[in-house]
Amino acid sequence: MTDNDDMKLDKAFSQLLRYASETPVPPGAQSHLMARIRATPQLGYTQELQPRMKLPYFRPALGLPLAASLLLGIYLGTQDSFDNIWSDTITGLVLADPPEPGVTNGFEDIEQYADGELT
Amino acid sequence: MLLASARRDADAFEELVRRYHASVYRMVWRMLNGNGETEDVAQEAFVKLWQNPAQVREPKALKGWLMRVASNLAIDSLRRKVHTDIEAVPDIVDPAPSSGVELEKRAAAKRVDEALAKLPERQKLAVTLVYFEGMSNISAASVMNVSVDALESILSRSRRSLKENLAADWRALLQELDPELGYR
Repeated sequence: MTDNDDMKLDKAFSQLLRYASETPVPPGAQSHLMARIRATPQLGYTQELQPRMKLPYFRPALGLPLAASLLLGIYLGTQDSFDNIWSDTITGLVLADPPEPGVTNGFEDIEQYADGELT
Repeated sequence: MLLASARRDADAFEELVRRYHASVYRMVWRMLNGNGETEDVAQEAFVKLWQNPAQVREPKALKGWLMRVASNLAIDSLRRKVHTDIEAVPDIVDPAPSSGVELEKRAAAKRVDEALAKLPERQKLAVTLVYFEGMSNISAASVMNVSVDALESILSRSRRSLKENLAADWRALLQELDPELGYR
């Protein structure tokens, strides 16, 4: 079927449907429906129609103690007041300590090797 | 208005009924081929809306929503049991004596109604929404939950089916409408 045929058929179809019966809507249909509506309880719509719960007004305030705690931590970290109660690894004292006597790393002997005192 | 209805305001809901009931009723009547269950099925769509109005999010989509729910209910009803054929539905009695022309018109209407009744569900729904209810292809496609292209394809098949269903009557009816056109 060509487009032209289809268009012609569409036009004929529209005209033909004028012949179809008009739907008889019974006069009392709407009042019957409303009587049924008034007798029918609504189901759990209330929650769905409620506006989305607002954020509690104090929510931003919850961040304040966290921020204060962070700042206090940074401040105390820059002070030496608590170094004695933290481990040496944290305070960096291990690195600051001199090597123990008797423990050599070999570098001390370089000059002696160079002078021929050691073989 | 929809929100007012949702708040259990039956008076506001009545306005919705006044506005959309006739369209829903006509569509269901077509789908059920004039069956006596039409009123119950049309009512059911509104009761569903009344019970849970939050299902319709956009007020603009209300008519489409009602048509979709009602058409689904009508199709369910059709599938549940065999309905009275439109041929068996008694004609509405006109108290005024009918002229020969009126009788001819009624006979033609009956032939067209019968041909429409024989269309498959989806074709019948598409024809009802677009041709009888004057919905745009976009709105009708939305009601049927298909693309506009798919709707146009359904409509095209409906036209061919109706032509086949009417067979010889097709030409005669169109000639009666407009002899100048000379439809084949």
